Amino acid sequence: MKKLLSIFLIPVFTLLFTFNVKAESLTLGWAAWDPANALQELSKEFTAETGIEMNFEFVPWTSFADRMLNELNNKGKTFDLLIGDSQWIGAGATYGHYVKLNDFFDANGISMDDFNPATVYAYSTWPKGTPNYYALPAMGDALAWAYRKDWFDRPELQAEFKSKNGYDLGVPKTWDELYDMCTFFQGREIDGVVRYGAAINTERGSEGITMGVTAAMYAWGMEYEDPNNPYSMDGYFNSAAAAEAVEFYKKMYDDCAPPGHSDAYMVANLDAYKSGQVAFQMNWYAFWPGVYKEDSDGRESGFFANPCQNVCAATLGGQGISVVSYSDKQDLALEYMKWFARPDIQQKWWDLGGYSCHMDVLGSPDFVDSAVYAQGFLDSMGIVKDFWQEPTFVELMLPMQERIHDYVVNGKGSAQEALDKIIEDWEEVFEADGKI
Amino acid sequence: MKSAVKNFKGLSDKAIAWIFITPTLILLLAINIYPLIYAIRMSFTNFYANKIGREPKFVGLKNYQKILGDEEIWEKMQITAHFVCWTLLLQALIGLGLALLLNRKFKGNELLTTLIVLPMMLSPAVVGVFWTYLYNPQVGLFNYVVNFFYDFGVFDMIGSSTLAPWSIVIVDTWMWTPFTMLICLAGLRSIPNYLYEAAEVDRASKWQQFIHITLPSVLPFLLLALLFRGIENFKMFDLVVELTSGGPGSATELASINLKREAFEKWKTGYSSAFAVILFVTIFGFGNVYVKVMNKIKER
Amino acid sequence: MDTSRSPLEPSGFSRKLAATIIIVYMVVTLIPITWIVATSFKSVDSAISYPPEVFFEPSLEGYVNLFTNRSRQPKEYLDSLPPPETWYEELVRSREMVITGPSKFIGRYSNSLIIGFGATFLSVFLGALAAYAFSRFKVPLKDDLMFFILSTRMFPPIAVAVPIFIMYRKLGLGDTHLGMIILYTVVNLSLAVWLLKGFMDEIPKEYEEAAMIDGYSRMQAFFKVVLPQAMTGIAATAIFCMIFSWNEYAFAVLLTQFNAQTAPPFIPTIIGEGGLDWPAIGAGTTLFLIPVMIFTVVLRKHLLRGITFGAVRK
Repeated sequence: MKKLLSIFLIPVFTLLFTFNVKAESLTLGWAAWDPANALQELSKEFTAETGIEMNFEFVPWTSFADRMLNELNNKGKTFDLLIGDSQWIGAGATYGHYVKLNDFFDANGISMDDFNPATVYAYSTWPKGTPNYYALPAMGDALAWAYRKDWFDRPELQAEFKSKNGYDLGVPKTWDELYDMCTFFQGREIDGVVRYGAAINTERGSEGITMGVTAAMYAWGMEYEDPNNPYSMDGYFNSAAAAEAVEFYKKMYDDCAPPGHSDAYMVANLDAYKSGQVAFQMNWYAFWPGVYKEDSDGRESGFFANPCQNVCAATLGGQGISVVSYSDKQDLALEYMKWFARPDIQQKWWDLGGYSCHMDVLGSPDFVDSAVYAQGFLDSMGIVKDFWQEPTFVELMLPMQERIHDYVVNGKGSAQEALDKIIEDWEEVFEADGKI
Repeated sequence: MKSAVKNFKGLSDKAIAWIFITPTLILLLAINIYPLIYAIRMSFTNFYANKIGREPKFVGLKNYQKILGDEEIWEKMQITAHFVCWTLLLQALIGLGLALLLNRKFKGNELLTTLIVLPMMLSPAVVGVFWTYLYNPQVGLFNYVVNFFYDFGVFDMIGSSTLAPWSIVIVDTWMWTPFTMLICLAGLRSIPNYLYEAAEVDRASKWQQFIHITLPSVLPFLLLALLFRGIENFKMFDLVVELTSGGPGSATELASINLKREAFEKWKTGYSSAFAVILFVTIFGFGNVYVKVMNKIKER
Repeated sequence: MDTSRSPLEPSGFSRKLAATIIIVYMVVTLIPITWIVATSFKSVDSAISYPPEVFFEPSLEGYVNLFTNRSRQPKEYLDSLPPPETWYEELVRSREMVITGPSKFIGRYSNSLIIGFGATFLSVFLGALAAYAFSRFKVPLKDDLMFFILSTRMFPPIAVAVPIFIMYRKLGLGDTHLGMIILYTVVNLSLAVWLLKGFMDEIPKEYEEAAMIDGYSRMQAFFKVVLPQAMTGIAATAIFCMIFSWNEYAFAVLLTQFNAQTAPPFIPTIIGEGGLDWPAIGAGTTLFLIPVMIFTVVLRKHLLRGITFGAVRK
């Protein structure tokens, strides 16, 4: 009996008492991905300079919004600093989760003019475009494409493509060209293995397919609402062009995606690309440093910004860094932010694989040549568009995920019906929130 | 006897009985009854748990009307029913079959039983995510194993809306058949030998012995196993959410996955409470009828 | 346990056939588990190779990845760092990466140990007390109480999660070890009480009565005589409680965040470079399976007995 008791209780007690808390430490929350690891590496320098220990809590993308927003809604003290998604800024500001940073910026000579205006608009301001700052742009990002440059460079493929389509195989300028190239590679045998067209976002659970399909919808000129009449979406979000974009996206899925690519987001797209299944992958700029550095076995990657169609546009990703208003250590957190905003640290951030938004980095003459995807990043950041940043964005995201996935992957109904239904769902959310 | 015991030292039996039972009852009441009452109360309001400070408003039966009148909810119930029925059927047949085979003496019997039980010990969430990997047509094992013997072509188990509902049935069956098997095995081993001996004396054939002795004795155990599996699968969440996250579209969106989205992502506490109550009533209803039938069978 | 059935003693052929079918089933059912363990010894690239590799060069990358966060960096940067000190640093460097810090796996695994063992102990202990009382004493409304205890298992976790979430938030139990131990205890109690009552009924009353005549109090008799007698039942009950609380996912993912989250929500989401890190997931699954497996193998004799009693006593 005693033996059994000790088997149970010894692990329990030893573990309970081995958790110790360091005196001066900060906890930073972000998503679990490559840039977060790079930031962890960069922050070793902050600890060396100040003696403040940095703890990191990286949450997988699939539960990132859920977990972080719950923590904020509960006024949790887990985090002192949070690198939250661009869509959360509305909730962060409206519900008082984030500390307003204007006074801090003024006192420490941090000027938002030093940062890329598109990123300041997207990551820092609420209400949108007003000089009320709740975050410092930390990680610029947009949805873009990578392709197998080594396959594109093969003369026999180039010749065959040209004779088939009448133009050169190269970086696609429009979605139509992208489609031609994808179908060209679909099912083609290269080096004895069957390859496929493109790994595109189709994830159901969090935000994947929305982030993918909007890349097409923006390029077809979709707007969420009447610019003169906010929250009036009929005729804008469900315009004929928008529906055509969704249909096009389904066509891409049906004709170009590798088999089984039905619930794919960042992770699965990278896996499909890295294992040599596809000629193209859609993904965030954040991953390109990893993809580029990892090129091997004859794989050579090229990168390009989201192709145009009716207009040029790209889906915005990226995050700003905010101080959580429930933290007991706001002073230390602000110290970290001050350090992070320093131009030399921002340069180092870019060198380690983070996407700095600081103009000293982006505007430096060496920037464009510092990486093959640098020019594309600059181009994309000039044309980005984002999903709703409303406090209720999760409620807005969920029906879009379900309806679009049901149409694109499941083949249920039509694109027009899906968009019409999404508007109905959204109107309900806005009504409940008192917006309309 | 009773009176003799009463004179011993220490607390009275009555006191000890209550001391022993109360902690359990208090815990069960606190963690189960309070939430139940809370859920019922909230189901008549438009409460949002994430909007702190906003008073819930009484809306009467509106939530219930909305759910019961919602075609999409009924689709989700059908998906759940498909999942529950098929997993129970398969697990009953395979589990019972394995138990009958294992219930004879051969070398390594114990070891085999332990090995077969292994899938049950994995975490369902981990099982879910690992099967996405196994099902992947390019890098996963499933398609290669299936096509090893005969070239069936590619099975896109998770991506196709016709196959996806089966993909979750397969994984659940793989994981939980050992459970049915174990309980049936326990039942088989509790059959006293003299029943067979008597049957042998009566010159009953092996088949008759199976029908008249084995099956009736093992049936209550099988039904008990299926009751537990039925309850568990009706509230299935972890395995399926990691495997398909309800997709493609909503082809595998079981009732409790939908409930999680409403309750923990949209935070419609009032609405989701009503949905939860409806699910309760369903499980309890089915459970009660089932237990009654089961007891009848046992009595026979 | 004696499994011989003299009248049913099968012929040599049918016995061989049964063994063959069982072995085939076992092989098929173990393929996925073997594959999980095999994947844990693959390198990241080999895990997503297309088509899958059955033969591969084993690597400890998965296990290293499970315990660390890493970042891929250019050669110049790596050269500027001090040389690697340990074998795992060397392994990571050879992949042109640098360890940026420990992962959360140890923390999550410890949480699992605390909550898993804590809840198992508590539910078996409380279950044994209640089972003894139900078995030995006249308790008013005994049958109703027993049924109430059983019915608590029918509550779907998602349905009660919202009120529990709110209740825990008010009580300060949200995202704490204690909160999760209490919760898992409650879920397991129904099973524990029912199984253990079956065993307690089996123990002759005369044992503790003899002890009490020797001067033990009822309390002492319970702890010193009855509990040791019920060890088999306790072991069997502990296995089932352990399997449940060790692997539970829904409550863990909904009610815990960063402090008390256990390993099951963590393992399926281990991210490597860019993609899901399949070797690390395999490694995590393997390491996570080991404690329950040992627990079960050690106590496996009691497993079948446990079910027999619980079911028969209904």
